[in-house]
Amino acid sequence: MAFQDPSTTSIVGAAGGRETWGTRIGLILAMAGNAVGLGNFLRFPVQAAENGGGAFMIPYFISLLLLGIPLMWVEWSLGRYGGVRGHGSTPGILDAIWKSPVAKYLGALGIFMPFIVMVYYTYVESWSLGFSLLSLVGAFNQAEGIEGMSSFLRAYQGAEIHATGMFGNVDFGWFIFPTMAYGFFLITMALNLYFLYRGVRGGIEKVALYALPALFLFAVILMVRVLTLGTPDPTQPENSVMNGLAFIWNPNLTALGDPGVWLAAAGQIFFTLSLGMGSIHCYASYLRNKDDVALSGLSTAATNETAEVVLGGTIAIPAAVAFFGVAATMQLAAGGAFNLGFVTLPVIFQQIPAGSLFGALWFFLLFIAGITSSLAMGQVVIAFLEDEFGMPRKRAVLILGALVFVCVQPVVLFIEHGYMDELDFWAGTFGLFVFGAIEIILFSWVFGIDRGWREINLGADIRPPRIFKFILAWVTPVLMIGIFIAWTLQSAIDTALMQGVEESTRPFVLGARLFMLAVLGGLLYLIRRAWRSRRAARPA
Amino acid sequence: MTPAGWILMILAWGGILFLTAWCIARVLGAGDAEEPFDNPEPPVPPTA
Repeated sequence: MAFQDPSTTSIVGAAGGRETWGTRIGLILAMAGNAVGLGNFLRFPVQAAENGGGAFMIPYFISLLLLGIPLMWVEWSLGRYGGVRGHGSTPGILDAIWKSPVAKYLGALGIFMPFIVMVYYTYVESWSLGFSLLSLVGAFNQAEGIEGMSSFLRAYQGAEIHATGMFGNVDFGWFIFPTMAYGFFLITMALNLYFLYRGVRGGIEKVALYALPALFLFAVILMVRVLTLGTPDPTQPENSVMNGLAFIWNPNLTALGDPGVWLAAAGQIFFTLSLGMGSIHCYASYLRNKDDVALSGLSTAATNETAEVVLGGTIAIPAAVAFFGVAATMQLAAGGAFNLGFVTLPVIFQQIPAGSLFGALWFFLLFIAGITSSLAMGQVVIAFLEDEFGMPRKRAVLILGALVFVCVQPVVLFIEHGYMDELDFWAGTFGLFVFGAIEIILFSWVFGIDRGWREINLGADIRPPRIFKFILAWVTPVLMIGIFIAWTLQSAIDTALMQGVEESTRPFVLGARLFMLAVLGGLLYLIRRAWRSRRAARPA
Repeated sequence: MTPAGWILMILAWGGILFLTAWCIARVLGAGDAEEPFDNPEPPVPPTA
């Protein structure tokens, strides 16, 4: 029986009195919002251009078929399976599929990662909101060229004091307080908490219903604007949009022989679909027992790919090539996807008619992409507190807000010292592969592929091709283990040993690690406490 | 752009847009896109 919950305006009626999604299209848009993030518009085009151009798309699509879509179905199924048993976070979900005392502790990763990522992601998301408004009022005109815009961004972040003092930064000697950035962070955080407080149906789903269509509309407008840039400077005919598209799509087939390209493609599929994070499980946990996961999961993946390959690949890089040429764009892209979005594009927007409006549109698009993802991360923590501790939503949201607020302070103040990068590597990159490998092994080899396949097909509106049963049983787990080992060898060992990290930065890196260990330790303790309480409450 | 570049771009765009359109059509065609979830009977019987 369903009844209206006055505090959240959500319909409660699923197993265990948990909320459910209002409409299927709302769920798919919310899931797509979770997946479509900053990476679709910034990371993907850089990865494609750096890894063989059009040739990159071959391993990219193979990874989508062998890794992305199968894992999407796995996470949707696991989420629904846990949800009908009253669990929306991975400790409870893994405990439901594997009757081992270890399972729930492995599931801690599925809360640890969204929480840590939310801490810094919300801050980055707030930059998009800030830059959107700064673009609208023409503040980028204060910056001249790439150098000037780099300095503008650094001053906004509090890494330096702007010559005009426009951001109101305060120098405390050993750190600079970024007043404006902090203000936009507080606004962004308040928006996140408000939507989360409104609930799954009344908040997250409503935001997705408006935000995702707006995101696609903005992206199409920007894509059309970029495609009509032509050759902005006729004296440099090689600097053109067409050459920008060629930079991304002309295949360098020799790159296919490089294992690094295949690893980059698999990694991009993993990041872009938000796999191995715990947030897909959480959203899917608000489904009912026989709600479809096969078609809905595929729809989510397809929508995300449209945002990434069709729209994301046609904005940043082609625009950069049209204005700066291929060689300079390669250099700019090597400086990081982030520089491309926050430094290169604003410089371009200064040079086109109505540029401040297009700039505002670009950054607001990034903000929408960001907030629909951070809501998903926050919901994981709230679901954990609600489901495992019986906490009211209001209190869970307040606790989440307080935790993020406290934990974000070093991110804001020590941004120059690699603190955020360290969190991003372990929680936002490496951890995803660890958890992805764990979940596919548990699903296919412990829970069992026969039961798993039945779960995927339960209530399905499409019949997934049977070949995927074999892929799920063998190909995806083996690939995940391989990718995990390759990532460990390629990056994790060097990063763990702090190779190439400056002496002055090491204390901050160590601080970030201690912080993550403390969060993980705290989570393990909370899980132990929740399960003990439940055991004690169970009638003898 | 080289012919190979064009072919890859058109194939990628076409494939993704077709898949997305097909999925959305199926979701809307299922008739419950804007209705609350309710699948009393799974249309696909569980496989062994």
